[in-house]
Amino acid sequence: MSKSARMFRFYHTAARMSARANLQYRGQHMINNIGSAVFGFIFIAIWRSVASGGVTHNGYDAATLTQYIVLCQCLMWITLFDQSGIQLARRVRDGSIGADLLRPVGFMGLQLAGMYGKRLYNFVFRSLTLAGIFWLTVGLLPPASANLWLLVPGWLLAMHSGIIITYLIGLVGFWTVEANWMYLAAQSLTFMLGGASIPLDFMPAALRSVALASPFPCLAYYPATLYLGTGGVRELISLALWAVGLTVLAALLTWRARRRAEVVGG
Amino acid sequence: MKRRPADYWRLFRFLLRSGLRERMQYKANFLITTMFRVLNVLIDFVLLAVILARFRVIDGWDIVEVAVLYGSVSVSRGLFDLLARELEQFEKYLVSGDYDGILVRPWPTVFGLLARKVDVTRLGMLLQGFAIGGSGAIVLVRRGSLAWPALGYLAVLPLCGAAILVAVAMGTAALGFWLVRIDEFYVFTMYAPMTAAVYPVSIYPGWLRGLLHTVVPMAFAGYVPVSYLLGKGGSGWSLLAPLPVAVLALWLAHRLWLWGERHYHSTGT
Repeated sequence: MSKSARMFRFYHTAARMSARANLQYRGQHMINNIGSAVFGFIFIAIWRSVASGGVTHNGYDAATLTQYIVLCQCLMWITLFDQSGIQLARRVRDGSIGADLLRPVGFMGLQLAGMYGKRLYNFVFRSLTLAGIFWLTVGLLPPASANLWLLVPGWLLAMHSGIIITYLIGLVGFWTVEANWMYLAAQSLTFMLGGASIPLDFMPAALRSVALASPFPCLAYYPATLYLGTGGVRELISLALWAVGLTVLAALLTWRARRRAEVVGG
Repeated sequence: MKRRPADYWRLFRFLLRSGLRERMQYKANFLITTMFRVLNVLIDFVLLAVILARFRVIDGWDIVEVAVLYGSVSVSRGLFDLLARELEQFEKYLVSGDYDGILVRPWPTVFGLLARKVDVTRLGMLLQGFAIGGSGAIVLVRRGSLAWPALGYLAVLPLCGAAILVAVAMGTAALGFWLVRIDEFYVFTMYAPMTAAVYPVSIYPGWLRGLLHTVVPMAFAGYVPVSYLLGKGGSGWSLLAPLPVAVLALWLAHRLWLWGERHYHSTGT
């Protein structure tokens, strides 16, 4: 077996183990899904209230806004909601990261494989479950037919960008005492600049420009617009560029972090 | 052993000092964490401001009126997070067996749990809630929509809001005596209702309004009394209601806690 095939098998096993570890808690995750759905109902109620009476803006009416919120609630389980980064930073702090660094496989690849496993689990047991709840309650329309060929690569790129951001949060642990604040920052910025609770089209021009210059729309706004059909090739290109840029940044920082790592005790 | 209120106060001051000292070991980390905790909560208001800048009102409430609602709930949340955060972390005590240590201490177990940590990084959240709610209330007084004495009422209302949050968190934590794994329940019982309570409750569907007035009575932390103060409905009872609701919720949650405690099984670690 070639070296690359062995590596692929190793990463595949790491991803599968991560997904299986999460399966142990699927009952609790179902309870959490109800909470996530309630969040969705809250945002939907807000938009329905302000957009009642047929008020529209940039093509968004109450029905489109409902779909947008539903999609973002489902999307964030594969792009944002994952505390693996905090756990990685914690391992740096308690020294157990030493074992990961000694493994005969790439550190970054191993971490990303675990995160991919978790996101795939989240897609099945969180995103799809939530989509089912919303489909039964407020309705969920199928994706725009013209965009079907963009949707799968778009969502995969969104998931990859989310995973890299989670990994970067963990890498911060090599330089700081804890990474909780980075996770909080990523959450806040995704909600504000990523369009997770409000489409960027509603934002004041200055804030929208800042948002579009950041990677956060990759986690909610771009993939949601691809589904709705309001986004297209331009959004897919943005997703691809950010995915590549963030991956390169993560690789560089991993190299720096490895040189900086200092494990004390045993 | 019978404890006097002064004993609790003395312990609280000691914990506050030690919490501050602990956090100040890493000053930059403390400041950054505090800042992002504020930002995390402030986002709710920024988004609301963006929506209201576009649509002017949400169910008859303008941005200044919503600011008062937001401030009231935000300060309640800040007080809860500052003093009672450990209730939300109760699962780890059950899983690790650390609750055994609390059971043998000469304090009521709930207080023993709360005394584990006073999280001073939450002070920022408290202050920004005061700043936004206070600014909104002053604008309303100048506009003539709110009477001056109402400011005093609004200043103490978050105490009831925080008590309601403590009751909900205690009730959720008490489920852990039977279920052990309870972290995921907080999304449904705490985080979603806290977010919902920032907006006028009248916009929600009936089942959610019902929940916010009964099982998770966060409507009484802001919406019910503030609606009456701003002339948007309710009666004089709306102003009195938060206190009995908070007392009743605390009593019920504490009864559930004591009942659950009798079912506690240590992990033996």
